[in-house]
Amino acid sequence: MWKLILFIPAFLSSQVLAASAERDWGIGAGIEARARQDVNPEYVESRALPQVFAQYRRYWPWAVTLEAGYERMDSSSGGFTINSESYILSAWARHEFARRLHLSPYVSAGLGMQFDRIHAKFRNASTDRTGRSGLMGMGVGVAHMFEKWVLMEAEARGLANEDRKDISFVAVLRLGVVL
Amino acid sequence: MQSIIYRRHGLQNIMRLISSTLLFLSLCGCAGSLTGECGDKFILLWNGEFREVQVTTLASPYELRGAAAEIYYNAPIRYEGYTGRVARPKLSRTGDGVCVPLDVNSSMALTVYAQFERIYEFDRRHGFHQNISWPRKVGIEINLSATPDIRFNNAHYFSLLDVIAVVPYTQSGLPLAVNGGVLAHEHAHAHFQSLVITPMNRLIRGRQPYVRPSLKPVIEDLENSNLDSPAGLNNFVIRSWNEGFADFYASVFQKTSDLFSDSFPHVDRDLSGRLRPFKSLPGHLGPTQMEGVNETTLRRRMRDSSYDEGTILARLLYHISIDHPKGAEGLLKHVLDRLKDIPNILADDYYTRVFAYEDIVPLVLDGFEITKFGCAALEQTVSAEMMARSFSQCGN
Repeated sequence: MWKLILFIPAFLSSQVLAASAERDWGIGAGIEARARQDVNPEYVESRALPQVFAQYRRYWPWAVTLEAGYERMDSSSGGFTINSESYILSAWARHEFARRLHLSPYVSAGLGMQFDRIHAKFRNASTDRTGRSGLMGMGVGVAHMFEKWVLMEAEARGLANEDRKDISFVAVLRLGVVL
Repeated sequence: MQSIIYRRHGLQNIMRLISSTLLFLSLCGCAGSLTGECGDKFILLWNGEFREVQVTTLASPYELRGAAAEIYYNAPIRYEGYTGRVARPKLSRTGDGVCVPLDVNSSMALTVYAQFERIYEFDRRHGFHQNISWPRKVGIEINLSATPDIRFNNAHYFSLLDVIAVVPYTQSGLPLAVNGGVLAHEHAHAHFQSLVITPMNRLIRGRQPYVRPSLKPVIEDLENSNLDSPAGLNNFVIRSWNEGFADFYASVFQKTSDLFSDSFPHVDRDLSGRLRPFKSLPGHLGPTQMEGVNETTLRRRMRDSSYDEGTILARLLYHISIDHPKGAEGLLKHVLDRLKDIPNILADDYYTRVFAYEDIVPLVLDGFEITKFGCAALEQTVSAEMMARSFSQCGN
């Protein structure tokens, strides 16, 4: 039911979008520096994560960015190890305050999911599990386009993960091309 | 008019962006999980295997504070105890609502809490919980400024702070933080502290300052005690009783005789191991043995000796409980009841007589029926004089 309710307006809107003529796509890659609470919440853990993105714009000043990120954590103590991988998919809507041929500041808001694969091992015992959690965030950034096809963006975000109960602070740098 | 059109277009655009975002999420098949969170079941390394473990006394799985314990990770210790906030594990939720720690530190912190929840239930079931305060405060991966044998591969109970510290584990076996036997052993020191050391220290404090340079109660101060005095030597004897009781408590709680081999394969503290007679402290540390040995070495030998003698005490209690109708839990309950009387019995002699390691045996077994198997264990450990004096029923 949930999915049906979500799908109908999305389908209708995609029909409207299909009728439009003026649009552009951008794709590229980025690096995300994420600072979040450690297991001891007095300390901050920082990580750098790679990401790829696709961006669609039709009605300036609005745009949508889809992002896919990846994180790997390997940890151990004695003979006990846990290797976890996370795939992070998110969709971000943004409102830009100036055309991108200029330095264009924007605000963004997004939702996403983190899909985790966890492999834990101790001696002959092991377990493989998958899990997931929701993400939501808001950010501010600045975009600039060079030569009408090279896109460069920098963004700062606050990101909440429903299974962390804290806010991660994220800095994203993206480089892409406009198609 | 243009303004109205612009606004209408703007609203439509916002709706399109929102619906596209929702479409993306619905295609992921995951929108339904955005309202969920971890429950009370976790996949943890539990007694050497990965199991689903339920934890019921945490208000939130994202903050390790509950009725049983407060868990601190890599936290500083001050004179008031651990400072800072309790540990917050990183978790991932599986489709059936069970949560899995994303890294070893999170897993260890959660496992320590889960173990202390079992200890809390165990103590409550037997009425032991009234001896000490709850929730217990436990730190893992605690960095101490001390010698390597204290800083690594060890766990400590700090009596003045009433906290447990598990320090980093650098060997290849089971980390101490997920070794239930080690945690129960350290927890048992809090019982011994409450029943024996604190009351005894209160009884003798009129004759010696309570706090030495090490900021420990006199009875616990192995580093500064006077080795030429009965009191100084008695501290090592009392330490051996403390260690022996802690091993026995942990073995009853864990229902195993082998508490430490998963973490320390070369340490021989299996309680089902060979019994041998208790040593006699004054003879063991006679002047001839002290000659040519510097004081630091001597203290280390005596401390090692108190662990060895503690193992003998724990093995004796374990063997006595093996075929006893009251079982190991019955004997543990009896021992805990009897420990309360030890300060009154021994405080007067603390400064004048060196206790024997075996002195505690008749005190804790007083009133407990010994089986034939138990008598055989006693005969292998205590002196003939003590057998005749305190365990005459074994001769019949």
